[in-house]
Amino acid sequence: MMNDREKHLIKALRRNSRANIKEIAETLNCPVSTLYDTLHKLEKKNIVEYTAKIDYEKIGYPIQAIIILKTTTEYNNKLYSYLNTRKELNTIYRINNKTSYCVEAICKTQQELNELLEEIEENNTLTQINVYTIIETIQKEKHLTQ
Amino acid sequence: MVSVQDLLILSYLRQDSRVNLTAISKSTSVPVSTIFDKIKRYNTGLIKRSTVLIDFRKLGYNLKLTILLKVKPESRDSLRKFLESHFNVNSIYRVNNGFDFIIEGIFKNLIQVQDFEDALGQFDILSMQQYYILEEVKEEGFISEPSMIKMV
Repeated sequence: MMNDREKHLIKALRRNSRANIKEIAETLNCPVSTLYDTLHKLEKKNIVEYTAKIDYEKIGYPIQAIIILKTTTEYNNKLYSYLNTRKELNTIYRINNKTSYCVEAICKTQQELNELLEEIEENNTLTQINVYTIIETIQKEKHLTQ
Repeated sequence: MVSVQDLLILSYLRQDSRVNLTAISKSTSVPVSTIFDKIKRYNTGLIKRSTVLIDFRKLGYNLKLTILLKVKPESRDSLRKFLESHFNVNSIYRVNNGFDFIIEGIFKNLIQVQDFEDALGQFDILSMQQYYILEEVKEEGFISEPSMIKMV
């Protein structure tokens, strides 16, 4: 389990990963070198990636959708590999019985999303595909930020 | 619209938001001062937040679920407020096609999942689908590979 210092640092970085470690150390009243040691430990054990959440609409990608895809065991590897080649997919989760996926797609236009869906269907054997267009992203990655 | 150069700098930040600006400058041949100014501008709206993705399982949160919810229209706002304030709810999307919200929940165990489901009982939930996330195959991969920027 994490100690209080680790929890504080994780939460601070979840809120702003470019935060100054020296400033965080001051709020914790602990030496900067100690906090850097804590950071390096967390980077080895718990931190997957530092990233920047961007407003996709502002860079010309206003169409976002969550897609649930299901296939059979026989065609699962093919679908897994295919999804990994699609640059439009921001997130790919393998769900439930290992032959289902929940993916998040980001596209410039509705037509581009439609083409993506057509190509996924043409190149794979799916038993189900459900598409949910995102109307609003209300919150993202909020857990352990407060 | 943003330029290809903007997308390139953003891709470095998407790949590693703690990246040193000098490193971006070396890779892109854009002066550090220009990158500094651009990031300052991005932070006024284009970048919503710089954050860190963590392995919740290693922190004892062993269950990650995607949950689709449809609720009676009159309960939509109260459900939204409930979800926004709930500790275990990591992400919330308002969606179409038969559901109102898709959420991502992070829980320590099945008891926490059950408690969450019980709490949803106070709203007029018309339909709910749950999917347990077994593996994060890719997370935040969009515009996170500088070498791919010319292709987008």
